[in-house]
Amino acid sequence: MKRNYLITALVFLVLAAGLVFLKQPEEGKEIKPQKLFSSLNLPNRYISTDIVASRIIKDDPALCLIDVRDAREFNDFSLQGAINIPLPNILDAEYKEVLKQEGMDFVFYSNDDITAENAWLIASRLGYNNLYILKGGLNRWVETILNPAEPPQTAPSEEWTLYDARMASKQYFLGSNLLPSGKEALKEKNAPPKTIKPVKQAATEHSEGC
Amino acid sequence: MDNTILSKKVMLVLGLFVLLLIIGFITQKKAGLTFSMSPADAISQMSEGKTTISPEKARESILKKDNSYVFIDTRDPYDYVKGHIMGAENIPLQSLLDNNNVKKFKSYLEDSKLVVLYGNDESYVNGAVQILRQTVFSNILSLDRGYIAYAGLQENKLADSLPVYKTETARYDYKSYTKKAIEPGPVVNKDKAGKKDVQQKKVVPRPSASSGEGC
Repeated sequence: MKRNYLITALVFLVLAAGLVFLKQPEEGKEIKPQKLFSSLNLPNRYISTDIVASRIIKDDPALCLIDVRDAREFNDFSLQGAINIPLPNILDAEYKEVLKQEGMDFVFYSNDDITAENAWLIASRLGYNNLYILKGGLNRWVETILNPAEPPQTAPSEEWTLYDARMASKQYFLGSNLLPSGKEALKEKNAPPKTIKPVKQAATEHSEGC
Repeated sequence: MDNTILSKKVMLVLGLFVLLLIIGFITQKKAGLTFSMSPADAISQMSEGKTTISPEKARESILKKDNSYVFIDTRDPYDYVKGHIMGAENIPLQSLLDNNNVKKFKSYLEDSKLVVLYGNDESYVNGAVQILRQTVFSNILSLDRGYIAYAGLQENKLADSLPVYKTETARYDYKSYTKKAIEPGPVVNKDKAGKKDVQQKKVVPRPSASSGEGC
């Protein structure tokens, strides 16, 4: 009688131990197509140029920008602190350790967002987390940060607030000597671009992120 | 005597429990699609642009009534009703991996059809296309520049209202936006696809404003 209970208890223990080894999708372990497909719906896998700009300005240490274009394009122009992992090289041994870092947010970017999304898809399939895509890529970066378009006069105040923030970012990235001048200044409404407290030189590499 | 009956019940319950677990294991393995293409091969086909067809090619296939193409509109039904590629089916993006749709894709694969998924732009469908291509469906493509470009071609719209730039073209001269630039470069138009008498539709960065200011 007592032996039966002992056997029962042992069997349950073994089963419980077995459960521990089931299920957990470890980081770095490939996921299935259905799961990857479902993750396409996640609203925050895209990150806006405005948020990335503010994180760069704040020198967010958790931000890791990854340029997935080729080396030539990267050397011509890249975002401050970005590293270059061209899409064809994303599986190379030298970049393996990059995506494994904990506590980092990895933002893929390219000229638009197709190549960046492709990098996101491969890395996600391989089981990595905290991956993002810069919405609209560098083309949108120019349109919103480096050369933001003035809203029409009739636009609601939120748009003007956003425009002011973008003009301030523009100053940060291009240097204060690129304040709008001449006819642009005349067109400006009552809201002059804000000056930023730490007046940083643009395009100096802070220690390469990641 | 009670003890024997009790322990027998326990053994029975235990037996059922183990049986359930075994059934669970077996049925779990059979679930759904699996990746049959290696990540390396997936990257190759992405980088070589093999996963997309141009709106011009799509238009040509419709005009020539080329039955080897099947077009699938992945937008929601409201957009589909407003206008879609002639003969296209409407399968909203979220339901692409439903069982009945997977069956459809399998039959298209068996019939050697090229299945083109499209949305308003290419980035709408790119994720779905790449994922499906990495499973067994190597015959699925996306429509470059999306329905917006196709519809424009169909209506013979003037080029300045079409997204004429192929995806992943640098539409601005990024170099001119760095302090290192010696002089702000002229607006570059790389790799323009579409009609020859194309007009530039994008916002021109204002070189006059920044020249002479130590860009």
